[in-house]
Amino acid sequence: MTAVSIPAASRAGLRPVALAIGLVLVVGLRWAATVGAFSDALTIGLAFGLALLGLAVAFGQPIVRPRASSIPIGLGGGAVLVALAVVAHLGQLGPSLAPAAAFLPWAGITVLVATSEELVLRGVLFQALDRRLGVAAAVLATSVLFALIHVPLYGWHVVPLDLAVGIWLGGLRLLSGGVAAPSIAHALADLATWWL
Amino acid sequence: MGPRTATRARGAIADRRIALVTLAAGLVGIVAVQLLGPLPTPPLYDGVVPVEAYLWLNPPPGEHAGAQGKTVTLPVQGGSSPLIAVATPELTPQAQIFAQPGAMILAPGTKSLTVTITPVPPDAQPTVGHLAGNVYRITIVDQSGAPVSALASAEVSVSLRDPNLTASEATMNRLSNGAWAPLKTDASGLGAIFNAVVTDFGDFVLIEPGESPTPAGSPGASPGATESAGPTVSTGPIPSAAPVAPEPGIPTVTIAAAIATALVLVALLALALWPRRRKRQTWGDRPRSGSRRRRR
Repeated sequence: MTAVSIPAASRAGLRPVALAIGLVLVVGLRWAATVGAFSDALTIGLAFGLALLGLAVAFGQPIVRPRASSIPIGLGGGAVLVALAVVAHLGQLGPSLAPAAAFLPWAGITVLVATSEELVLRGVLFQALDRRLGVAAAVLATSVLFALIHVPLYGWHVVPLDLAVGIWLGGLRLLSGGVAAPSIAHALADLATWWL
Repeated sequence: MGPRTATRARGAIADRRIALVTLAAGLVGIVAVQLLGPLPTPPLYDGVVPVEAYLWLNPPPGEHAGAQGKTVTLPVQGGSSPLIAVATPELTPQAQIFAQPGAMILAPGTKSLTVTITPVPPDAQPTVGHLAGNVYRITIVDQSGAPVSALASAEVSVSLRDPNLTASEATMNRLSNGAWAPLKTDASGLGAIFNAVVTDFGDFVLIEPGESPTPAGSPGASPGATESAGPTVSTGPIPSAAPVAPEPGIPTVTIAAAIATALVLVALLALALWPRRRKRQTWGDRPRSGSRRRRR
């Protein structure tokens, strides 16, 4: 019996596919856990964020200090997302009705989930696709995947908006040269939902 | 400037141009979506929807009890009603009312408004469909106990959460003359919340189409079997997506799915950790995408 060896080029080609499968799997598990009420939403969110983080690290995403210039780019990108949502819903905005004590744990897990999603999508997956297929394919594929992973919990109607936001986050990734800027923008937009 | 430096500079400009074009495309897309088909609630890029188990006034088997109400008294100043934003105290409120300042029709001399949301037993069953979740009685009265109503133009909204997280077709109803009257209902898309604009208050509930998923004779299905005195009255059916869990233990199919998932994850991990030439990448300090050129 001889061992089957996969050529290095094929292995490299399999990596984005394997990563996408892993991402879909983790998203599917989160959906099943939520719908099946296996635990409360925050615990499921924590597990989801950690699983994505593990996936990103396993596929070679280092966790290091972001470059200083990424921070203003990320903050600006997030501010644009929030501002657009505020303008689109003027007159419908009101104070958050959720208990204030719940904010901190919710915010922590929201930031974890947003950052982990970015480390996988705009981090390792973007890098792998960019190397093999070019920047356009990387932006498009990660944006489509970004939109699709939100469908199980939120429905198909979010796809157009999430697709556009995915492209925006891809632009931030290109402009800053790293994953920190889209992570900051993503986290900022998600945190704003507490008030919006 | 040498030829290599010039090439690098041109590459950086091209990278920046690609980034700006991508950002512009994303921005145009977001604006277009917001203009053509805005979502019923503000931004929905992601986030953790803090959906907790639905709390029932009188829970069907396997469900959680503990539905709560809320009462708030608000001062009236200048003859105009204040901002009203009252919700039941769950992490994801199960019932909410929201009214902009000046939304209420007030009698002269009104000094305060008391807003009350209370889960109550159902006074009626729907002729079509089934009740989804608790019935909530929402009242707004002035200091003398006289009820107030809202201006139609003020768009006062009532929101109820469906116990079924995947519900998409629920309709909010208001009890009128002993029967449930449907209201124009919008789904928020987050946590199975449904909204309706109201002018009068009273008993509100969500009604889903089709038969109740609760087996006949169980506390949640039969109003005759459920009504009793006090707060332990069942107010609706078992949500279709919530676990009924008639038997203890984990189903075999769940165990099999978990094992299969673990195997796939191990395989993915093995593939990821396969010996390879690592190119170090960081959050920031690495070549820009789309170019093989290294930054200075």
